[in-house]
Amino acid sequence: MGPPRTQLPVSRINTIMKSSSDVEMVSKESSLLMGKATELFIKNLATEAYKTTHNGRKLDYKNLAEIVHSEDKYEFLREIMPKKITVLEFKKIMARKQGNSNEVDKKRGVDFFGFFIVFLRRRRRLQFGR
Amino acid sequence: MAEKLEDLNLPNASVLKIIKEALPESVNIGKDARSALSRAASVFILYITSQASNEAQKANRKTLVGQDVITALEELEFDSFVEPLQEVLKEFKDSKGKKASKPKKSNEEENGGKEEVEDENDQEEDV
Repeated sequence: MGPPRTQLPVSRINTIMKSSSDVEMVSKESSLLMGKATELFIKNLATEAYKTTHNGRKLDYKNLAEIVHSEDKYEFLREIMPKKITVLEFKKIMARKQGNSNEVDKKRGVDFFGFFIVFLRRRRRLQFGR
Repeated sequence: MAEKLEDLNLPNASVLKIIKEALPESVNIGKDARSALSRAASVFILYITSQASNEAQKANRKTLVGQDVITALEELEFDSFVEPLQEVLKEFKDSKGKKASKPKKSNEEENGGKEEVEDENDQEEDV
């Protein structure tokens, strides 16, 4: 019997680990364990997010974001998984904040800000590759 | 070192397979959800690695070992991973023990002291 197998390529895990500036050398056993841990991590996060779906038919981004923003142990993911809101919700929030003064200016401001957020998200996505 | 940025991503097909294994068969997985999970997994690796290298530093080691990863997971609230990983570590050590003992039997007399050196190389070959 050979060494235990993982579904994720150990060499890729090794590359990711070594891209961290904190680490000097990475042993084979630690990348192997990290591979297994990553597998468990994906499964746990997917399962927990699945429990928040309404009809259980589809796992969506918003289910993941919900779990990430409610569980302490996932705090490190909050920046890369922002909660998405609809433009309508966003406008409501902004309207509440700004009150009812100056209808025209408000609308323009909201639209610009909405674009800005979309822009930021695209950039973030690019940074991580797809 | 990673040469391209894509080298820091995990292969999509493997990630999708892992997600599918965890969920009931009929569930659809949104494209956004899949890519977010994949990104999260890469960040998870860096997050755990950083804590694990703290553990190695505490022990005055330059090389990250399996136990560092396990301790890091425990400290970062992923306690439920510890038990299955202990088993993988044991399996790994067993398989290594077997592999190492076979050639040793035949070569024991000629190079009895070589075993230890080989082991050390194995740990640091990925530098």
